[in-house]
Amino acid sequence: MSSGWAAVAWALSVLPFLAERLGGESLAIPGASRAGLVLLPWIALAGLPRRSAAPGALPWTATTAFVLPPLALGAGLDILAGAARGEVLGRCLVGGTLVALLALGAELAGEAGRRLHAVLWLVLVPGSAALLAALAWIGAPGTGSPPVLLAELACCHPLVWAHRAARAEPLLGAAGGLRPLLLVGLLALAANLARRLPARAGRPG
Amino acid sequence: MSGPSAARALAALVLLATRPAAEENRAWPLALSLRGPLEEVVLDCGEEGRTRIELVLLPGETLELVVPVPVRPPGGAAGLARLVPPAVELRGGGAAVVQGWTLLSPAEDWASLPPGLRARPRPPVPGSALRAGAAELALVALAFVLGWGGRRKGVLGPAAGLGAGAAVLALTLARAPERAVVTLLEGDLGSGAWMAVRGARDTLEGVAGALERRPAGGAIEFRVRVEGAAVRTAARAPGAELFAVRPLADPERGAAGPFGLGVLDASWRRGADGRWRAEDGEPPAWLQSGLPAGVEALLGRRGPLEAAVWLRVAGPGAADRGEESD
Repeated sequence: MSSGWAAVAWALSVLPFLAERLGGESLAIPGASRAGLVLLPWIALAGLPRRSAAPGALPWTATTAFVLPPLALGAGLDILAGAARGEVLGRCLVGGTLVALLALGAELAGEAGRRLHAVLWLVLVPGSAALLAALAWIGAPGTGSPPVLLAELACCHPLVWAHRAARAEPLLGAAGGLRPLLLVGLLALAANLARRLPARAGRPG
Repeated sequence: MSGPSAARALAALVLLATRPAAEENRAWPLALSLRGPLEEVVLDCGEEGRTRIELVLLPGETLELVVPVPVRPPGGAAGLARLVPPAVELRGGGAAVVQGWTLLSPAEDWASLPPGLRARPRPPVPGSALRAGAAELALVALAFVLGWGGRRKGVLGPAAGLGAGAAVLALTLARAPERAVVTLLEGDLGSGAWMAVRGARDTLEGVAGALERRPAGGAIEFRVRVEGAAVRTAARAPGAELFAVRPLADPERGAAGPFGLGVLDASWRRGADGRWRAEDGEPPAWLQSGLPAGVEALLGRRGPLEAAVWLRVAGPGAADRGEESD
């Protein structure tokens, strides 16, 4: 993630707090989890593929560090509003790990795995989210709920998880966060492998 | 469609769109049969929220329980039969069987109240909406500036993020959460019906009977704690106002004050001519609203302002009863 995108994600994650404070109740989002709202832009942007020469790229540790203060503020306000501490903590742990893994995947890809990571990220994160949203609209007119297969696929999606977290929906405990973590972990692993494969292929003998 | 018909249809649409939302109960009782071992049962209603039951049931132990569920049946109680029961999630390895929807007990059934009484405006909820404080936001901004400066300097950036995160969390949790509850006792002497309204922001403890959420719609989480024979229920909807509404049975049985509701610290009486008695002064505007015209009324307050119980009674002889507290 570049420094510029980190600034954008940080500004978007702080925006709900500022809107509530400056605009009063008219700009508040009733019933939303503030910690979930903080995570949403970070999960969307943390894994952005890097350019070939990326002098402004942040290490994944710095990206994750930028999330923590607004996430802590959101978590504190959620707890004050009556949310269970364990549930808020679980949401923050899963969300923070998703951000870290997404940023790590982009970093591990390096120059050699950059293209593969970009394609995988595009398909697995924004592409499939758009597809899921479109299929849910087409597949369930009037009922408001997607078909079972789509619902199962959506359970693995980091952006769907972030959306559910922002809406303070039940996340089914650890199992709810495990599947998107697994998917994002595989993305990071694939990026790492893609970086190494050409190097091995290029060895003499 | 002809011009006048189209105009009438448009006017009807405008009326529908601008009409205030009717009161809507969001606490529908569901009967469950539980068998241990169980530590937690969650009834998931999707976007409408959930009911979380915390209990300790030993292996083989059984419990019949009726809990509120935050569904929105179309058409109220009549629409319950068409609803799909909520999904059940368990922790502890036991079993939970949904027996079905039940009716509110007569002591809790707000449908038995006269529509005019039910439709009276709800009291303003004390306290302000929860929002980030200036100090907390300043600390978050400072952490960003520090992190930005140290973003490529090894552990400095992550250390600033971790430290600031811990400080922000501690600062936020050090605030005392506002748990102010407003209570309003409503009476209609014409029909003899009474009801009690309790309102709070974000979280309302001790929910019994019907529950309204403002703004309408949105998710509600019920937390039901079973401790021995005691069952405690709280409703939570961050950012929303919650009102528990239930009929008040026979308030005359109380001890002192008008209608046996206690001695009033302040009272305001209105005659059938619509004029408030000069010696009482002017009552709060919100308390006056919703009173029917052309009948006597008694408004009152018991207790200090920050923890007051308010009284709003209308009907023949209401003003005379108010004199009991003078």
